[in-house]
Amino acid sequence: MKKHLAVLCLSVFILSLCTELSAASSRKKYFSKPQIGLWYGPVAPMYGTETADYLEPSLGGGAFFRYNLPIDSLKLGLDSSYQQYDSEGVNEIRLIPVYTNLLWLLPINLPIRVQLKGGAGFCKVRMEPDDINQWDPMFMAGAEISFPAGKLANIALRLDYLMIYEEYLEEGTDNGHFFNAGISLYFNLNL
Amino acid sequence: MKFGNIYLLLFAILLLIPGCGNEPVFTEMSTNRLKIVLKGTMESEGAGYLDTFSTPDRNGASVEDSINSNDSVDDVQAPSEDVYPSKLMLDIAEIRLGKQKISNYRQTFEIPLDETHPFFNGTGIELKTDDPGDGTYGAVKIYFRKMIFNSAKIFKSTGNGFIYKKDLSVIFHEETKKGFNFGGVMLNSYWDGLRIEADEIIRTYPMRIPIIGGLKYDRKNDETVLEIRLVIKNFIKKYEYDYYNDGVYEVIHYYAPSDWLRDVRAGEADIGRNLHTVARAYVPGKTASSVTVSAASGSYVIAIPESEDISDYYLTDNGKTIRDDVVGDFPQPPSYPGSYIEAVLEYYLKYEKYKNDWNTEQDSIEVEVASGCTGLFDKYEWYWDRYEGQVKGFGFGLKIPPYVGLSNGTVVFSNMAPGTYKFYQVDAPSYGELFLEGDFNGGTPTLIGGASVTVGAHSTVTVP
Repeated sequence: MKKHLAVLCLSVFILSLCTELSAASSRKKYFSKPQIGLWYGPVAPMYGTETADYLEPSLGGGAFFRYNLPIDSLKLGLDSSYQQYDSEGVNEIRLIPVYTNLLWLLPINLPIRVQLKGGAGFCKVRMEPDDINQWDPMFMAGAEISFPAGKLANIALRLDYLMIYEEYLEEGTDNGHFFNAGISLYFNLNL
Repeated sequence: MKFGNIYLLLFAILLLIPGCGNEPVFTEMSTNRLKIVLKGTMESEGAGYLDTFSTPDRNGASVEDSINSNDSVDDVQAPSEDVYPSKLMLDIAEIRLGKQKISNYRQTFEIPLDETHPFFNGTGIELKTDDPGDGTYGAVKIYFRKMIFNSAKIFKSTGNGFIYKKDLSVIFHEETKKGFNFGGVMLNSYWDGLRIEADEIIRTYPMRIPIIGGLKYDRKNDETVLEIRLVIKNFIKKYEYDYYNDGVYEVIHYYAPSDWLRDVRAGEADIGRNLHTVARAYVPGKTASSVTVSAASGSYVIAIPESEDISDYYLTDNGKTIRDDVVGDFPQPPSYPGSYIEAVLEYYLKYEKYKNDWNTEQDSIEVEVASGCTGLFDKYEWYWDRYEGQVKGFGFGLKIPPYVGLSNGTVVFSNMAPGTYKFYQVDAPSYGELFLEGDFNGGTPTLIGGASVTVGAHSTVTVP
């Protein structure tokens, strides 16, 4: 099953590189510009993971910048956000993830654009009242559905999964798993 | 901008991120290293070193009946309806270590006054908390929302006596229960509001508990135990609370910790600073294996860190006698009963008597000679300052030793934190009382073995 999925993904990816075959070349023009944007929405510990056992959902927001790559359907993004989680008790966690990600525009001919993304970076983790304040490595994967609102702006729904990696640490047995959903507004730049 | 430039910029931003930390935060969230246990005994040790529960006669619960004619229980004495309480109810809102909030879990306990319950058998009940940051802490604060003993009875005046009306009800954990919330009267109203201690008059919200020897919390230890003891067992006394209900004079008989330290007198509603508490901390696996102390059977063995002063742990005399020595102990004014003509007339009569008593007391201050004081107010202040000093009114108040055991020839202290300690033998106090200076070797506190003893981790120590 996994193999099939991988082959499918790879073939869609290769097809998307053949831009001349696509009817959506004009649509991609918007996509091929650098973009800067903001998002805001619910953030939560990932359902079913140990993180959800002790943290409660909250609201978060962030900003991002994206720049083109030589391959039209790919972009490189830099994201950061602020997320604060309370627990049932007095423990509290504040996260500031900073990561780069690769975005891939799916070659589907629809008025909306669907992008998949994956990336890695570092996350500033602050825990109270234990008074721990440090950077951890992190990974992310996500999807984004967007549509242009005029030539300048785009509106999108973004869904991200963030994994803050700590198992490599001595005595580390848990990682942090978070799910972010957000409504995002971003602008095409003429750089 | 060229592609190359932007990649350089992104790369530079990532380089700015400092090195990664080494604390597993998400593992830390799911582990609990600080264990708080709450006990209701003066003794720190368990089975074999605990005094047995004594239930005084239902009307003899007032510890001073034999010595004090000015006891809190004065209007209705010895009614047959009074029953010694069988249950203690605690409602805890929050716990702080120093200034750090470590628990906001609402926790309620219904504890039978029973030898076998963990609260009284030396085991302790566990309080749910989160972990604090690394550091040294000298005090823990528990915010008691309610502290209730059951068996509170209301009696109403018939004009020529009192009759039993009904049991008093109280809301506990959103349910109606029978009992009286004595946490609400745990304050001292006769203190001058201008004094610096005035902000500490309510002693149960929060209850500030000294950690004798300190708590050194270090995340590297798998478990740190903080043992908190409230002196409840064999320290319960009956009180009387007076009020008017629709012009009818009523009194409530309720139970609360003994007023051995701060005497509560007829007509007084407040019983503050009579709940005695102590905390001690240790790291399991890093304590002494056993510390065996020989002492006369039936006496107590106490241990305090070498830096502590033993005089903080006893009174020179009982609280009643100390208060008797205060000149300027003004009477309480009667409370106004509302618009009921008979009750108001009675109030004015009481008020005349109050004015007369007040003037008599003032005259007695004028004739007394207080050291170095000339004015009336100076003398008044001098006597109450002396009172506060004698009942250890400053700081944490009267201290309870961190290690206490009832001797059966020896006392074996388990879980003693490493350090240098002073060991004393003390005569067992009576029901509802704590240690007096006279209980220590006839009035001269003397170290067992003549010197302080150093206790190391994993050591086996015998004293003397």
